[in-house]
Amino acid sequence: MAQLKTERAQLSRFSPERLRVEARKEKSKDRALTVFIYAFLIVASLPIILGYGWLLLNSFSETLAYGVLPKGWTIKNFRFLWELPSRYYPDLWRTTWNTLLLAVGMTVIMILIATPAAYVISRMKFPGRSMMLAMTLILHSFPGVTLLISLYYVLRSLNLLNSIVGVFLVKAGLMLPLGIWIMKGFFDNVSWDVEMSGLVDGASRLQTLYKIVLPQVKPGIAAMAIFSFINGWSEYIYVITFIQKKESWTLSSYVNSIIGDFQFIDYGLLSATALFYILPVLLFFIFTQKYLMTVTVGGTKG
Amino acid sequence: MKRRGYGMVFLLLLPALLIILAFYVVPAVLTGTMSLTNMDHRLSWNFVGLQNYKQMLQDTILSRVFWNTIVYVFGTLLCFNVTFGLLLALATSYIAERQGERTSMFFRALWLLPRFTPPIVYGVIWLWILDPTRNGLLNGVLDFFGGKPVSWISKYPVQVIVLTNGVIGASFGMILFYSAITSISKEYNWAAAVDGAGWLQRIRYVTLPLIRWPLMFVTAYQTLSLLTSYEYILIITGGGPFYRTTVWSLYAYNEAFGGYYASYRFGYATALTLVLVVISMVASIIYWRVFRFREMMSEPKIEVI
Amino acid sequence: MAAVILKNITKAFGSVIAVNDVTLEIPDGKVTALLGPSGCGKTTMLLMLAGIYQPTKGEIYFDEVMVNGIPPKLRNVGLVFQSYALYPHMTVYDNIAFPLKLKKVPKDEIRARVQEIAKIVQIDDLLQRKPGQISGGQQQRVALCRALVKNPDLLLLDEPLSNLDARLRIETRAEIKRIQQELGITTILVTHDQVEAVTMADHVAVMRKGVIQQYSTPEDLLLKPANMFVASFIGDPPMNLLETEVTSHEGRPVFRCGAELHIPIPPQVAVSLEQRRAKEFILGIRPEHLEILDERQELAFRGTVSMVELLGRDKLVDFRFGDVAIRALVPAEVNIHEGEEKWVRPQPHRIHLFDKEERRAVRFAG
Repeated sequence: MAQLKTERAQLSRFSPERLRVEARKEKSKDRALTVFIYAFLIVASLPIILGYGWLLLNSFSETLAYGVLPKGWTIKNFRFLWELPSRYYPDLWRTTWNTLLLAVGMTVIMILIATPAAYVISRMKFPGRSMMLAMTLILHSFPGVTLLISLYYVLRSLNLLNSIVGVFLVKAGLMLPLGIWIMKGFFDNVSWDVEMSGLVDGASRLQTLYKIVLPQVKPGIAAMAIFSFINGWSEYIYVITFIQKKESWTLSSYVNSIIGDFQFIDYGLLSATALFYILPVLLFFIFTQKYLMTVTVGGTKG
Repeated sequence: MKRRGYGMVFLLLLPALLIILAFYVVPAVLTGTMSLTNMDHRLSWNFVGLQNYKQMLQDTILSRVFWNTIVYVFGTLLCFNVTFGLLLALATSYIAERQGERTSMFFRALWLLPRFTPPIVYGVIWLWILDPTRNGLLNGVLDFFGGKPVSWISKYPVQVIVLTNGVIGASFGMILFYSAITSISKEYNWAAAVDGAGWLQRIRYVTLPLIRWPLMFVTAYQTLSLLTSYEYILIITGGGPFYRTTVWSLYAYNEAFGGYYASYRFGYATALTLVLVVISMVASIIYWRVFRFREMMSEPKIEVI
Repeated sequence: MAAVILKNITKAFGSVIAVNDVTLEIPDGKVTALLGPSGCGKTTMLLMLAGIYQPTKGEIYFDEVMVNGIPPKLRNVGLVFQSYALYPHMTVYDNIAFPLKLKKVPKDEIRARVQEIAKIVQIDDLLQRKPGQISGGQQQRVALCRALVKNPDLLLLDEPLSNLDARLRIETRAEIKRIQQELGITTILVTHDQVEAVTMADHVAVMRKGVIQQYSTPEDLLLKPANMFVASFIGDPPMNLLETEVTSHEGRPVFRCGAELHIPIPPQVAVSLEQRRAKEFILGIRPEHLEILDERQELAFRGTVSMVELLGRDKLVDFRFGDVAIRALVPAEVNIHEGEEKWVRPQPHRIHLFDKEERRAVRFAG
């Protein structure tokens, strides 16, 4: 006790000069840290900034000096919009249409099929429910690559190889369990009390779904829909594997082919087609990225 | 009454169940069966017992593939998905705290962008950055400083696949860690400040211990994701040069569909993928046990239908 | 130890002004409470003292040293948070040792100091536990230890008792007071609970909407409220506040409240009121300053009991006069029932008058 008190008596006197010096030191340390953190973020992000910047700039310029600086503005890189890059290519607009079909199909599936299923699994009691949840988990450990081969077999048996419908069904099958699982999470978060009070007020279970539960999970469903659209639009591996026929190509096959044919010859054309492909995604991303972040996080539940 | 209720449950589940059955469950069963055949492009069921699995033990390339996979999975995981994701989360949360949410949001969105980019477009970007001629970014810059062009992909293939996958992988950890860090109660941070901790000491003694669970979760979850990912490798290196970047799942894919080395060896390829299934399943069971599985299975509180 | 001086401190968050032009001198070695309803800016004040927030305007001095811009770690303050903010992954020992560890104090000295402070606060048997394994009251003590172990010049307590149950609160109140006196440390306490402020503090600053309403001893807070807010905020049950007009009734000066209530004005008050032009005021009398009599006496007024409520040791008695009501607090043993006619007499020295517009206390001799 006594010792503590004397010690305090010594400590208690501030030396104002010393305090100023120390405070200044702390402040400059703090500033250095801020500068360092910004520097880190900017340098680390350079590949992304430059990469996407290149996609944009290179698409509209004749050449790039030192691989970075655009020279000579032009739109000739976008000639694929009105003429075929070479006579082996299918019509671009047909290809775009196929891509769109796949994207919209995925969105519709998520809204019309996954949402009701997620609701039922999350909020209704029925025999076999826990078995179904367990099944979802087991399925989850069958990664896409595992199923690719047997899916090839299934599609061929159903005569759906080389068709967008085939890829669509395959992707739907693979995405549904995860999608249902994520959306189940959204439904799980709706308070039971709110739904119970709805029931007590005389609504049926179906009415509470429409009037009480759905409005609360709307942002989640919207996010899932956007996510599915982008996912379908961007699909690469199943398209490449299951579709060879040019009439059924999507933009993935198209750009893939451009890489093969023009990589070292015509970077302008390559970046322009890639830009064309990424454009809708970019727009969605810019306007809805807050939503998309919730799916990325929500996705960890599944 | 009850019966009609279950009818509705059934009706709402049916479409999903049918699609999952036809395009998930049936293929899963088929995969198991196919691994016991020597099926090729003719798709005939010719059962050979455990032949494919025996072949795996003798496959000299497979042992290379195995080590490639280890290096790829853990290299990417440790360098990017966990460490770099954490650094990004810490840096952006620092900026959110001091400078404002908008700048922080910009950087997080920037890092999330590759995740939502069509894989082939992402591939195009890297093919340009790593282009072996002066037309590419890296060699263009080298050229500016008077250096000679380097064939990055053939010279550093492993680093390339780790880097290209890592740039995408980092965002997952970043988002999760960021939300974990920012949901730490302000009072802990203030207490640390009053106790005399600077930002780095606060991270070391307060932040990191408090986000231990997200850290473990991301590590476990991303190990599995990486183990079964091969899309970007397929686009950027195709597995080469000479199997140097062929990981397990890509090996299986190329055995089945790859035009380069072999193709349509469906029986062998399915056997290869089943090894991944076993690993995934064991891992899944472990981490679902650890991470709140029971909570997700909790029973509904309303029994009316 | 340090005296703390705040000069014209203002803190704004965007367009919201949390603390508005506060000037305050906090004496060395004493306990000072910042008291006010939630959202009044008291916690913001505390965080400015700790250095976590910087004031938008004004200056803070510890003794003669201006500490604006000095980061928390150099201020040598101890802070106990409302939620305690004990690091859940560290043992009690590590929690307490943390500030010393960061100061790079040698290990054996850390051990000695942690043990010493733990003994003073009486938690020396809990050192190896984790915060999750001890009770709320114990956590509170650990937080106090962590704040005290670095020998702070200033101890800041943010609602230190609000997470404890009623009995533990009384105990801890005394305990903190004891430790504070033992160490003689300047302490600033933030609370919304007037009992806490009045029982623990030597001085109380009542805050409302970022402005200090009154800064005085606890006694003065009760007996000389500076304005209507303080008058109504301090005291339980709250003060009777009635709109009133100074007039005369049956030849005597009275406070007329509503149509039916006429409270006789004590002579010494009447004298000083004569000099004022204003005739309308707000009249304030605390329930405990009303006496209930069976017979008429000087300065008493008659009323009918409308309700009697037993509050443990006291009885709350309501009188109703048309549309005004008045409450008195009497000992529980007083025999009184609804419907009875009684005489009520305010203690002449305990009558408060407030300006009707500005709501400030009207001071008068007596």
